Amino acid sequence: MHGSIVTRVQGTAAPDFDAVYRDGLAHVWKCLRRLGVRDKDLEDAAHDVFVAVHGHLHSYDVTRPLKPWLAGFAWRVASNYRRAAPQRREELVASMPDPADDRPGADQLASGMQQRTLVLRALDALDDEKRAVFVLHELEGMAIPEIARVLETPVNTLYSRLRLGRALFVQQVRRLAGKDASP
Amino acid sequence: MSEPEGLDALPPDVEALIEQELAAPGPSPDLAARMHGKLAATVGKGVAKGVLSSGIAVKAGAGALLVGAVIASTLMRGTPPPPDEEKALPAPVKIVDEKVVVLEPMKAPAPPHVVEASKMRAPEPIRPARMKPRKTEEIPAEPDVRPQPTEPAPQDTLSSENALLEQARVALHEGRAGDALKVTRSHAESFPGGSLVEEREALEILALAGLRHVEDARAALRAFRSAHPRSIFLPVVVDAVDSLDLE
Repeated sequence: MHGSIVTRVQGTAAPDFDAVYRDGLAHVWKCLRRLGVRDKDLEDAAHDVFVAVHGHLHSYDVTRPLKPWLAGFAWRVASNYRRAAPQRREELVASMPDPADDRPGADQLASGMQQRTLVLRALDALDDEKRAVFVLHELEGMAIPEIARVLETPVNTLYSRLRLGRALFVQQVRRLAGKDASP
Repeated sequence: MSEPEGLDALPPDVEALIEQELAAPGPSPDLAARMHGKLAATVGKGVAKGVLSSGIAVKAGAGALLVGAVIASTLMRGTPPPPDEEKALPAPVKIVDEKVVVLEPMKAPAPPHVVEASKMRAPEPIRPARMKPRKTEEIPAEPDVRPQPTEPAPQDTLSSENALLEQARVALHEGRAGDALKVTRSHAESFPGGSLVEEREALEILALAGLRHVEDARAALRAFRSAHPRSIFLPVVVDAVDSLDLE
């Protein structure tokens, strides 16, 4: 690891940037991935997140948990990313396997990597709003009021999006796994 | 994760999939170290603290455009990196199908700050100067010796704004709310339509709260909320003013 980027600001409660980076990188990385940033762009996106974090470190309330705070940055970067390149989404959706032709086998699904890929592909079926609340709640473990604060969205709206997002996610998982029980 | 009221649990097989995703690995230690070095190059030296240069964003296409837009952060642009660092530092716009797309300013949950898209300086193409062919018999005009306006370059202005607000920030963190307030007002006089108005106004509210100027803080918060309804500073300034109400 390189030398310290930022040290604790003397006389303030601002956290040490290196500590935030060390504790938060994996979380930010996974969060970005789940929010739709492609693997090849993760490094740059994570870089953007931490540059922003660095700029806002002074205003971080150390009495609050770090991960939701970081998730907010990740969400914004991912949101910009997806908005800037909507064609990525189309490409991905178009590349989804047709379960009838390219159904993952049971042994393939047994591998964690395949399962994680399946999760990401199913997430790609959700629009940005549903995806955000689904990821932040189901995968990042954030409570809905906390997400409401990050996304600046009413709690009831988020519950509604979460409900729809869950239904779509399950449906998509079933489809991709070739387990669609619907007639 | 406990289920919110009114929502059924996910099916067990889907929960199992999510468990798998939760166990997904992060970046390797080597990559983490490399990224740390890149971050150090971006925020740690030669650039004003908090400078943002987008990693996603890219260089201009076909050599025709010089691009220099910035994703927002509390502190904006700083001086450009030296040439040997430029390769490592990504540019702040994105090229999509050979079109330059300026990314929306960053916005984050709790404390942060945003530069609205309207405040961002869009990159402009470099146009060749239009040369009017001069007739040979024409007498060359006297050179224009009038003093040219000495407007600071936008980047200089932004750096100046940033430096001033940094003083306010430091003053606030050192408990010198009065000094912070003076600095924000000085910023308001010097840069009435500056790029960091939102940040200045947030700092002013925090300074007013620090001085226990309850009514002024409330009024400033109302104005701030109205002017920047989606500001990422809102939670912070609201908390600061709310805490006054509790005292």
